[in-house]
Amino acid sequence: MNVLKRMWRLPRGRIGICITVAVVLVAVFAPLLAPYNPYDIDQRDARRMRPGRGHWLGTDAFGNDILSKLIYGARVSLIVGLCTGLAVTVVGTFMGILAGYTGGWVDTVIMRACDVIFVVPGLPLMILLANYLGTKFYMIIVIFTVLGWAGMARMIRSQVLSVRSRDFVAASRSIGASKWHIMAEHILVSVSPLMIVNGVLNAAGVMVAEAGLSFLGFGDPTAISWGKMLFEAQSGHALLFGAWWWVVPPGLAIFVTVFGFMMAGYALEEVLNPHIPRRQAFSAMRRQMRKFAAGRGTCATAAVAGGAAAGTGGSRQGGVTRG
Amino acid sequence: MTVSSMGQPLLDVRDLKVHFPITSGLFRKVVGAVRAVDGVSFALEPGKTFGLAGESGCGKTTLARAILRLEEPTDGKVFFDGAEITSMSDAQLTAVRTGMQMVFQDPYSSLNPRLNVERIVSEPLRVHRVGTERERHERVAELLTTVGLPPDAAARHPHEFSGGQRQRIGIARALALRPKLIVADEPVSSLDVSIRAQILNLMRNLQDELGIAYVFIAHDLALVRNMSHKVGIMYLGHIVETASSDELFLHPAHPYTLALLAAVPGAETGGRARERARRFAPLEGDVPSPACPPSGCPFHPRCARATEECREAGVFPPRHELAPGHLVWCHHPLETE
Repeated sequence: MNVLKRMWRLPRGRIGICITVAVVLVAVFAPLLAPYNPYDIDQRDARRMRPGRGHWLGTDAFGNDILSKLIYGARVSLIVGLCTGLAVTVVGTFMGILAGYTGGWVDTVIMRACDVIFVVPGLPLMILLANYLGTKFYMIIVIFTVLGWAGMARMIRSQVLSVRSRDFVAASRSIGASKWHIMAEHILVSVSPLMIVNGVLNAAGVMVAEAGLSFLGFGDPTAISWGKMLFEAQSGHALLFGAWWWVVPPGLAIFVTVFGFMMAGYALEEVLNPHIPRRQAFSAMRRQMRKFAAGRGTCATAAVAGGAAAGTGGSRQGGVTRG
Repeated sequence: MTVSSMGQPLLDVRDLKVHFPITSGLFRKVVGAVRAVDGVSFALEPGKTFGLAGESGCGKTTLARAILRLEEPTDGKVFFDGAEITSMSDAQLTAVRTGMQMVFQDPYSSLNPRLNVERIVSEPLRVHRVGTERERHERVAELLTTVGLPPDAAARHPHEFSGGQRQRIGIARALALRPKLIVADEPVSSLDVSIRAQILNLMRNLQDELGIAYVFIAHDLALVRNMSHKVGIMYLGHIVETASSDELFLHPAHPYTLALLAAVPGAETGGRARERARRFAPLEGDVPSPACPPSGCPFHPRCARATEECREAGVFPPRHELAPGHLVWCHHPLETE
């Protein structure tokens, strides 16, 4: 495809594509790649083994092979990230276009709904909902979508407001096109680059958020995910025992995957929106990073907590327990 | 060219007004109105061209958009082909819209940059569900040929074309439904001078072949004269003088018309009118704001002939019919010798 080819020409795009493809392959072929069954808890004698011959990345306190868990963990991260990214994109774009093009009371209702979602403290609500609705991963997707569509809708709406006053929309109206035709034919294609790029970046953000939620112990308890590995490491006092190999791989995996997605996202932005000069694209990236770092509501607080635990050792936040 | 017509006009605009409310404060209280179009009337016969000229900001574009109901008129009526379209519901309007199309000023923003030419030109056909996929494809090729573009242009995107070619695409789109009327809002003012003649010739040929009527808007008087059978001069939302093209340019009667002619370097205004125009002082100042138009005659603050009568509040200048079809709204029209 043309877009992929042009992305490949950019260093960022190449990095992004490589990482994303690698993670997807690992997730898809997990059963073939993993040397052990990650759910196998029979190896009680092999607890907290250092990385070595039998276990390349060592084992955890339950005697499970960390490499195998890491490989299977990619599945949850990707499914949650991609599904939520898709759902947020679809819902947010629809709402944004509807609000921006229709205007009037429809716009008011949708934007007030966004405001409500923005002022609701994300993390406590997520924890509450996760407890109430259950922590199956599809429930987590639903929760993230409910909290995430508003940002997308706002962004799309503002773009729609500038597109709707263009002459080609007037031309379409003068032809006699219906509102739905104009939204589907003209508005959607005009906002699609913004939509795709933000969908990808959103997926990256959600992966971090999912890891954060799992790290706090609110993830799907039956699924293996990177966030849950960190949670287990945390509650199993990994660093107290000096078991760095239990902490570093999942943290690094989250970091690399999210980094790959974001690189792919920015390369996509540059390809789809060639009018953005490089420097501007970079400053947009910096802005985004700052937003993540500043704890943009839902995702980032948990993510930062997760990241801190992975990077510097979570023993300081040892008070976080379930319930 | 005669102004008098047999039978029904194709387009009949009667006392059309478009006011944009000015709101202020928390509760959007209406504190005034921008009178962009303030009582315009004219009629246009099938297959003819009505030229509208005037300075920027005099309401030409708003008038054009109101005729097509892209702007909702505040008051007044528009009859198209005998049907009153100002009171129609959206559904009724959709059917009428096949007969009237618009060509826009800016060929860059009037074509969606993300669609290819095939989709752009076939949009009217798709909206009105004309023909099958293949028939539409053939029609697009035919339309592109009509406007002088190669049929293989269909697969390309607007950015691959020059301004003149883009305007041709816009015209092809307007022609798709075989309209009786095309409202052309300054179709050539954003084009290079060398390209203008091509587009104008194209429009004239289309008129001869297909019998399309135009409302042709421009601020270039020479262009308007060249293209139009009948001309209206607009000032601040009003038509201040209207006549057949030759009559208007040979015997301008409104001081504003004369001032505009005087401002055109080398305009083909013909002997005597030209001479008088030369003697006439050029216009000074700007068009007053349509939010608070001058009392009385809207032109009086800039008019050399203005008297107390012209300034009198609330009195719009009377209409004089100087010749059949030559109407001027002025207290002191210049005598047509």
